[in-house]
Amino acid sequence: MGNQTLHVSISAEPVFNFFGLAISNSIFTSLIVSFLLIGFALIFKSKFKETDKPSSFQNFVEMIVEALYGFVYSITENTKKTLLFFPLIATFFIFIIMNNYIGLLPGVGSILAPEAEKEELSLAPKQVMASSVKVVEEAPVKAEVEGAAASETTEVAAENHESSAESGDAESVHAKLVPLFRAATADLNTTLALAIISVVLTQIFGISHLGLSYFSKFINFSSPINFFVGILEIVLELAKIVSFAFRLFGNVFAGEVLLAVMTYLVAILVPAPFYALELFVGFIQALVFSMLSLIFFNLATKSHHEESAEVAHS
Amino acid sequence: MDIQFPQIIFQMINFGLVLFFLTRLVYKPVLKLLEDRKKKVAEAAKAAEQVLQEKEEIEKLKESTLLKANQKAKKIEDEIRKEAKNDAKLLLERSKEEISAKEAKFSSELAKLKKEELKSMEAEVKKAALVIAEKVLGSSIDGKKHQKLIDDSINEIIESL
Repeated sequence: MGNQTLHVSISAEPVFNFFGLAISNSIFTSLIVSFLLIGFALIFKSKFKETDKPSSFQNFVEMIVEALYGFVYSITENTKKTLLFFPLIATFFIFIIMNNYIGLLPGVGSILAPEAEKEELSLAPKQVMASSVKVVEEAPVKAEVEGAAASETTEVAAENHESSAESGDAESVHAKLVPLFRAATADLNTTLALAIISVVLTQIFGISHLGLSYFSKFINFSSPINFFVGILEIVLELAKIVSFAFRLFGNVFAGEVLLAVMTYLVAILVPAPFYALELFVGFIQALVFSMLSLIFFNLATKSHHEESAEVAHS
Repeated sequence: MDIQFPQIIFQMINFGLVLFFLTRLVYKPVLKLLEDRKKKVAEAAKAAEQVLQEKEEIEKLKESTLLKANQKAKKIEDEIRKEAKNDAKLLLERSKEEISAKEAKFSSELAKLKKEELKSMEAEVKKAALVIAEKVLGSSIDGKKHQKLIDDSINEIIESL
């Protein structure tokens, strides 16, 4: 492994510019997933027939949609709410699971591209603190691993270490090689976007179902205890965003690090069980995100009275 | 870890587009189809239930008809048996009457025959007695004696009978 180093990057890297916008590898991968999903939807619609004897492809899609619909209905137990929440929950699940699984495909992380120049307005981090967890086969490379809070750089590849005084040209060529693809859910910005969508929609559903009385959960002057409970509820809503985002990002990113490390240590057979584990984790994380969103949507549309009745019933 | 608001907004739009296309092209048509199919199944189940109900009614009707037919058949059988019994009784009585009539007729015929036979025997006996008497006496006997002998013999025979 003379020329190979383990490259760990907690944030996505820009891979190309699009009309002056720097596109990161996670955005690029997520766009591919979105195009695949939209393409799949278009193909499905073109082949869709309203018949009692559907084709195997249509049957497969019907099975998935029916299973997800049943899953949503089992939580809401209300057809109107199910029809309202179902598209969101199903899309959360499909979007997340597809992005999780695309990170497990060969080539994702190992195909390299030169890093794009940073623009003022960019869809990529302004400064790449550390490279992605990848085995980079190239000439001596500086692998920089950065902790969440600290910005200090640790050099991992000791053998192939180059001094900082080395020629500027050679260093810039090596440093600019970054993975072309990166699972979108292994980027905190994507998981934050999904978390914000989920929490904002929770508030919208709450207001649309309960009207202004929804805010009584947050602002309540009936007693000092209720007032402080209201403040806690506000904090809770903000904490939901953090919880959603970091849970998904943490699990997927950790999985990718694990796979990269295992592949780096023993390339043959040993990573196989970890791939199986990551397939399971990818499914579970998609399910957890969707289920929690659904539960929060459902709870937001229930009045305090209904909730109390349910608790008493249970 | 670098949080980039343009990236977050881009991913929100990206998710929104996926949501829009999937809802429009997949979820809505499939849910409509599933709903229609559900309705069809419900209708078919209802029709099947109705058919079952009709079948049950037909079964009940069949059973009641069968019961009535059995009762009627039994009634007819009883009547026929009763009639047959009466007929048999009547036939028996008639046969008995016929038998008794034939018996009476036969008895009278027998008595008549007996009388005739007795008469012919009487004549034979008279004749024989006359022959015997002529042989015993060696001569002919007159009419008066002859008649007396015959009468005596007959009387003896009759008494012995």
